[in-house]
Amino acid sequence: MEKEILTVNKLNKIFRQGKKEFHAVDHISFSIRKGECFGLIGESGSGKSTAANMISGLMRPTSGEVRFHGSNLQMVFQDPKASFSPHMRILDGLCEGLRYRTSLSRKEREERAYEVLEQVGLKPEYGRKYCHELSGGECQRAAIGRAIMIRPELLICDEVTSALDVSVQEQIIQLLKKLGRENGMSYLFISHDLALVSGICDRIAVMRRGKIVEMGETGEVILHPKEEYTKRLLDSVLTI
Amino acid sequence: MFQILLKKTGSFLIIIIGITFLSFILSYLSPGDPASIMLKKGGNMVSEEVVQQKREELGLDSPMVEQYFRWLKGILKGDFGTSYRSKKSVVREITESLPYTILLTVSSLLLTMLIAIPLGLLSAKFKDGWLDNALRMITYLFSSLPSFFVALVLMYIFSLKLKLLPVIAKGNRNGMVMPMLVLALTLAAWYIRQVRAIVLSELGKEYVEGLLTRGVSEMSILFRHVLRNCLAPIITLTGLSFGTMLGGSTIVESIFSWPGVGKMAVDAITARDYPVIQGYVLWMAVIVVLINALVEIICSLLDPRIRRGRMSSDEA
Repeated sequence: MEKEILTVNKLNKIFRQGKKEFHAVDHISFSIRKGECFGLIGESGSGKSTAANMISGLMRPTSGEVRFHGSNLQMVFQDPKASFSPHMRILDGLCEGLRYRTSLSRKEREERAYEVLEQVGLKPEYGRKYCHELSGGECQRAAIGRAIMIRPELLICDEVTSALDVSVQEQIIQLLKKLGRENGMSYLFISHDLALVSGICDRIAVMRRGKIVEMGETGEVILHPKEEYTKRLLDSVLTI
Repeated sequence: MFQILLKKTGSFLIIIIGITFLSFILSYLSPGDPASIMLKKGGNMVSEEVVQQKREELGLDSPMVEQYFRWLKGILKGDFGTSYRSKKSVVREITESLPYTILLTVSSLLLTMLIAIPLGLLSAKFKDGWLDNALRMITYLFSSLPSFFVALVLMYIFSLKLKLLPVIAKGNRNGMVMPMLVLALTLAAWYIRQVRAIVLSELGKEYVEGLLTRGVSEMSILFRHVLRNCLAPIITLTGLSFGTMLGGSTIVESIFSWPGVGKMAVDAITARDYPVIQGYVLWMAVIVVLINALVEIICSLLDPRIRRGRMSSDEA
């Protein structure tokens, strides 16, 4: 069996407001193998992003554990423009992570940034621009570039294509596939779009009301869904 | 560039003429005759002929529009008129009071910023913690209290009880402390809440989460990124306060007898001293328009999004 890069065990998150409780993530467990693309799918409010935030360390779980068997994991967000600090040029945004995590000089950091810009299909002059000067697709490429700057073993993609138009979505998926092959990265791909997930993920887990209701090989889940909810999700894609 | 300058100057002139004309109408329509107020000062009995003669001497017998354009013509020649009360030129009246107002404004705004920015940041950083709750309660209290009440409380404590500071400021350094404190405390209370709200909205943005996942420390995020992105709205607020305060903090200046332009304006209004009132209104309009333009320039230098927005609208 291939080595695991991430193990999520009975991960649980309860939001409390006064006496009210909301179970956002309900004891979910899964693992991601090295080089694998794992998809977490479900409708809005199913707990996918909360799970991603707990895995990336942005949010503390109520209980359960996240074991990451690597040194770096990174996250790419839904809205590429909002994910860049508005006063920073793309190049500085790309270098920011390296600045705090490595002892590389400014020149070395910038060299790596130009190398990454090329990898994500952006011309070097884009480094001097601000994110608001880029299109949504270009900005998402830059955001992916920024995430791979520190060579993460796992990339969490939280609805990375939702804010983009269809033709750009395809380009971003192709880019992620290419980067995965080139860098041997694993992905946790979060989306509500089953059709999109089926094109990139090796395995998928379907989430509903904080719980994983079905999990398996992508082809198996799509062709022979066991759960009623998964069938309904698939039907809605086919109807559209 | 020339077109932008021309456009700005045009709108600047329209605003100035509009404001001064409006204030001229209001002064003209307000009850009380400057000539009789001047002559009957101190309870003197004066005949109607003498009052009429004085009116003619001051040019108050001519129609309002004629008076306004006479005043405007004088402005273009650099003559702002002469005060009915002191017989000094209006420019001299204003320039004598202005240094006191500038001193009070700059010192109280600096103190406000020194209090409000760190406390606003801390309040946002520790949202819903004990510090945030305490600050919210204190700022709520201070922003609801009128400045004259805060002034009276401080007077009671520092002047009457502790005998540390004078009741009447008279423009000296010791006397400046209390008006400065009153202005800074009431303004800081409002600013802390504003800074907190601005920082909180910035902290909720995705780039902050992104920076955290890339291992950037919370302090570095707060000071290198969040605070920098919050500067434009904070500077806009400060600019507005600066402009208003340069017009004199009338209540505080009057309570402490601080000889600034605010007190000068109140005295001029009481005496129906039209040339001084008009000079004051002109000063206020010019300073507010200029500070707004300056704030716009500073914000566009700080925020590349505003710079780009301005460039695209200028191109259009």
